[in-house]
Amino acid sequence: MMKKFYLLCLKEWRLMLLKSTQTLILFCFIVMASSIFGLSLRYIQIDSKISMTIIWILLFLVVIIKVEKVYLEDFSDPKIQQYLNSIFALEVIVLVKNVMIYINLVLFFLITSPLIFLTLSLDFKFFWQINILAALSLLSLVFISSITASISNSKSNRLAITSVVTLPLFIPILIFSIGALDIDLGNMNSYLFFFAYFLLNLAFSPLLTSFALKKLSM
Amino acid sequence: MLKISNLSFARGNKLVLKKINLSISHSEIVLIKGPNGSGKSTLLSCLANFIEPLEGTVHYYSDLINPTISSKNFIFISEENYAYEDLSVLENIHYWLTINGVTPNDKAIDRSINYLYSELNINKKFLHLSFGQKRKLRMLLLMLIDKPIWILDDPFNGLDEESIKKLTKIISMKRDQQGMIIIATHIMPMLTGLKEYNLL
Repeated sequence: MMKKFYLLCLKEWRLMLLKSTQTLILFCFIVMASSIFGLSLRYIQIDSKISMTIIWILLFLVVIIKVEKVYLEDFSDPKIQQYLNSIFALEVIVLVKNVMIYINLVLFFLITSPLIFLTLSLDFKFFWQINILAALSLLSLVFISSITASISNSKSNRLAITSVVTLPLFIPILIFSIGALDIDLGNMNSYLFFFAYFLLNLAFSPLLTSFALKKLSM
Repeated sequence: MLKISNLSFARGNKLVLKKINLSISHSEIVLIKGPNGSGKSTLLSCLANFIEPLEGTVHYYSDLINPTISSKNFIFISEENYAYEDLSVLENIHYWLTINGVTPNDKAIDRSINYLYSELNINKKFLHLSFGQKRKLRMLLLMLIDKPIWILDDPFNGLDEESIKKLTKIISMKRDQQGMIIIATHIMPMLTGLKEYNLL
């Protein structure tokens, strides 16, 4: 079974690589948006916290769009029937897909982050700390977005608006990531929240996502 | 043996299936017939455990249908294509075999492709295949995944005459191997000993 799971991960990774063009476009959007923000405020001394907030909001938008697109394509009607009939539980497939989306997004973030730092005039001495912080919060963002996507992709259009109920789950990530800047970026304790929040999402998100997919998309 | 007892299904306020009773044994082909909107696909979805009926049960021998039973015993082939357009034909075959827990066997894949397609570049993207070629991929997976129960939703739709003959032969062979085949279709296959079930 482990060999089969490993094979599934490989196939999903290949599938996600093919969808990298979408991710590239989304990160071009981040770079463009941060450039416009940086240029428009070039004469004003702004707090790094504001720049960080911009990064987090852009990341949030990118994650939501990416997860939504992947779920719309990968969990369409005939495909979900095959996944339900698979030897892997739908929860496992959801988990693997989420992890692959995460790796894809993190890689692109790591590649584009120097450019984002430059455009937003962020201090490069915090480069790795902010990257780790973003990587940790991206984990939770992807897992929560999967719940949102599974509800908004439901067959009933009336339920699409229900996906808004997941939005409050994103707020602690934004609050704590800005809070981490306040405390001390070098102090690893401030990162523990993200790890704990991710574990919480890891426990519930695949279950809730697959439940929503089974009940709402069939 | 698959036994459907008093199965009803409602979509909103509309009762789509009403008290369906049907039993299917191994080495049997059941043809579910009915006009458009009569609930053929819904019945198949209930059988495959994709949707919960309003009332009634589906038993496989003494067990109620559950995800473990359906994933172990059923192949469900839907009307629409489910392959990934960006993947090549071979990658799609490998992907869906992995999802079904089958270790890809290159020789068996080659043999099945040669039987179904007169000419096919397996490295071609699925997106670039013709409509008929895309439909045949479902047949290919039927040949490569060994599960006892086949649930086929309109399997002949979009196939040319020769491919229909080939699919009929594949279905007939499966029946001979103690398989259980449930087909919902408008096209009457050239098969003998069919058990027909009319919805409405």
